[in-house]
Amino acid sequence: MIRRSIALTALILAPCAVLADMDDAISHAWTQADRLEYVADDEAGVWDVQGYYGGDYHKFWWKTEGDVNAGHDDEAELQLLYSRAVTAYFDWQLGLRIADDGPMNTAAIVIGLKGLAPYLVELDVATFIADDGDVRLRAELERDFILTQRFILQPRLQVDAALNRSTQLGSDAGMSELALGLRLRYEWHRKFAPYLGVSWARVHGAGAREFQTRGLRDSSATAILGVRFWF
Amino acid sequence: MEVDVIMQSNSKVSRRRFLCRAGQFAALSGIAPVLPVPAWAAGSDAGLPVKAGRTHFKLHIGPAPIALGAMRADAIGINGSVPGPLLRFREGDRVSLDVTNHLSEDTSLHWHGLLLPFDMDGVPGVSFAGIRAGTTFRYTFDARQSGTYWYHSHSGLQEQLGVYGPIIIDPANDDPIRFDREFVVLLSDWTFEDPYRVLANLKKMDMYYQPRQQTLAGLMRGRNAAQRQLPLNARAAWARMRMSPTDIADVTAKTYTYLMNGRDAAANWTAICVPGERVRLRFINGSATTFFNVRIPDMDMQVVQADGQNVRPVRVHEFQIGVAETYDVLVDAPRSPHTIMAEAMDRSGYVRGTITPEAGTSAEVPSLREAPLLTMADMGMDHGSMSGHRGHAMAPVRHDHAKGPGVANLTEMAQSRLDHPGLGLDDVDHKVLCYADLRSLERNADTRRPERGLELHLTGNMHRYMWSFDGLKFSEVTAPLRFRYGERLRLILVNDTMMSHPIHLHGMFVELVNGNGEHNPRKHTVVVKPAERLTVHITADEPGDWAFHCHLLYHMQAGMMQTVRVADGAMT
Repeated sequence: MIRRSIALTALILAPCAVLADMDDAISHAWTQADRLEYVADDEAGVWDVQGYYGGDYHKFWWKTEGDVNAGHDDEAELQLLYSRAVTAYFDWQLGLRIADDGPMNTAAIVIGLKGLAPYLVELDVATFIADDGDVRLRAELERDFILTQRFILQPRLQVDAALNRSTQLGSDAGMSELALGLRLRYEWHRKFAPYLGVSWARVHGAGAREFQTRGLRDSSATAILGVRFWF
Repeated sequence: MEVDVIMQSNSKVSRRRFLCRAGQFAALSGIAPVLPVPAWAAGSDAGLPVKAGRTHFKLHIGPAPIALGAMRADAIGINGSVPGPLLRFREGDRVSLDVTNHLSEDTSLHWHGLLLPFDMDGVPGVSFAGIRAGTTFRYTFDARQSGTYWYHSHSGLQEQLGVYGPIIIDPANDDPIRFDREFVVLLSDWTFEDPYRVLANLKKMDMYYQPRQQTLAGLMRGRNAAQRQLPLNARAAWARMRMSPTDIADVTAKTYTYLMNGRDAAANWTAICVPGERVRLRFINGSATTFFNVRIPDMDMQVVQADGQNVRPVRVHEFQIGVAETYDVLVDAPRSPHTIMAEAMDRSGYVRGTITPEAGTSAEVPSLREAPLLTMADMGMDHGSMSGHRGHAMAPVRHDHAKGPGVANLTEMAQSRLDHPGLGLDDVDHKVLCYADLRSLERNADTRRPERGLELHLTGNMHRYMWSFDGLKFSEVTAPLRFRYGERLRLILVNDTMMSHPIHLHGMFVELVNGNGEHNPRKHTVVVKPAERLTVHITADEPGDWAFHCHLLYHMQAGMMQTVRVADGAMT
């Protein structure tokens, strides 16, 4: 599996190496910590960081997110993607996802679409196809509401779903997790904004049953405190 | 020091007295300036002292310190100053300019608006190889025209760092413009950020430098808000389009300090003249990206020249000057100080100077007016309810060009906007210059009807910060635009974007088709407004490869440039 991952990664990155160096085709590097936050109730830290390197049409794009949790299992994932601009506002993204979902490591092919939808909704949808045929979907939507020149309110919705039942993970088909967030950030600088917020998440299906057997609630609402920055 | 000032017959200041004053200021300028500015732009300026008949110039491009207020930075200067020295020569003279590069990178100088052999035009990669570090390049050409022009680096983003200066070419014969005293008023923008960082910021966040976005707080405050607030339904329409009505200027006073002759507003560049004199102000917009609204409150200005070409005088109170354009105006020297106000088009900032009979005086500086917003007309949308601007016919637009990720907007309906005075100036209560007012003083030399037409679209994607012609960035264009040598061409420019673009053709004037027939004004830079369809006529009588580009520096850098090849032979 690991060897195959490396081969795939090389394949994905190959187009990024032929980026032209003409004036209007210079490459830029971007890194954004969209969420770097402390979740009060869980005493957990969450990160959601991504970045790219590339020009207008072709980019190497990476994403990582996860949590460090005092109570139960940590989760972490890393995506390495080739991102191709296809329309004025959307990129196709193709690559590899390596995840540490608690009990096991999984690897999956990623096929995604990322961009700005009408009404200025930031959209990131992806399909994860694991080598055992397990197919999962994820959609993330964010929208900035400009309250003042400095205060920005950002609702966020994330849905995770499985297309099929996974014996390996012991999960059902259907929605596996729904998370809603509302973050109020203060743009101290365009590139640096601390925020306060609330988030609510609910685990569905097999995950919910597992939570229940372990004596945990399948949904939770909590206050969050974080920073968003990019460079 | 021999100082020869171009003074016309009815001068009210004795030449002797003037020489004396000029000498004083030359002496003062040696100690006074905080930042090195050339003599022509000295802080208190009694007019242009000029050495007559110069035909050879030595220009050194190298690091130059710049100081504005308490801020210091390393700019790139010409002969140690920002802006560079005034180059003044006479029509008919053969001019040579030795340009020495003291930088550690390539440089170049381009003589903006000048008719010359293409290999003297100074565009690296198009018309010559550039000037390598430590070397000198000699430009030689005959001055075949007269008027106010300027010059600047055409290498990378050096222009933003200070590599620009004015050019005056005195007419070989009598100047039809009569004046007693004259000044260059060179407007520019300066940032303490690295210009490549500015470009990177725009690539990563298109609204990075927007100081005033439409806010929900403003919506709730309604009429009491600091700026006009669009109602919810209009905001929804903009959001649906993924565009912003506040996207007037890509780079704003959030990072820019605006300069007049190298001085910021606090330094108050001053033009000293004797009441009653006719004063010629040669406005040059040498900015990287800033359009200015120029006015002298309580004074009339008579526009007598545009882009170095004499025009029938037009009396105005204000004009908008696009990047790289020049306007010469005549004013009556006032009895009391008056403010020369240059407000950035997006009204995030300004620079002012003073025209006054007495050094050290100034007048009230008007406050910045409310920032304008883009309108649905700027979108070029085919809305049934939307009538064309001032009743202009709107024509549906065909799009026979590339439409990739770099093209966010396709104008559905384009219109002529020649009688529109410029963004934010259509509702002021005084006369503002518009393109329809410009009429060549002399009949144009070539009055043939165009034999061939060419349509070019100005395209872009603000979100990705990609800019292009016909959907293709400079690096994606495989062949030059071909003009047949000697042909008369009709070039139609259609602006598919939401921004005004100052389009500059090197090497040849274009005649702006504005209804004046054989007196259509000749321009080197034509501003094409959002959703505008504009026609120019070109006589392709200058053989060679010429740059053709948007003069917003960051748009050019992002790809809004092509090469025009004027050559014999069949068109493909």
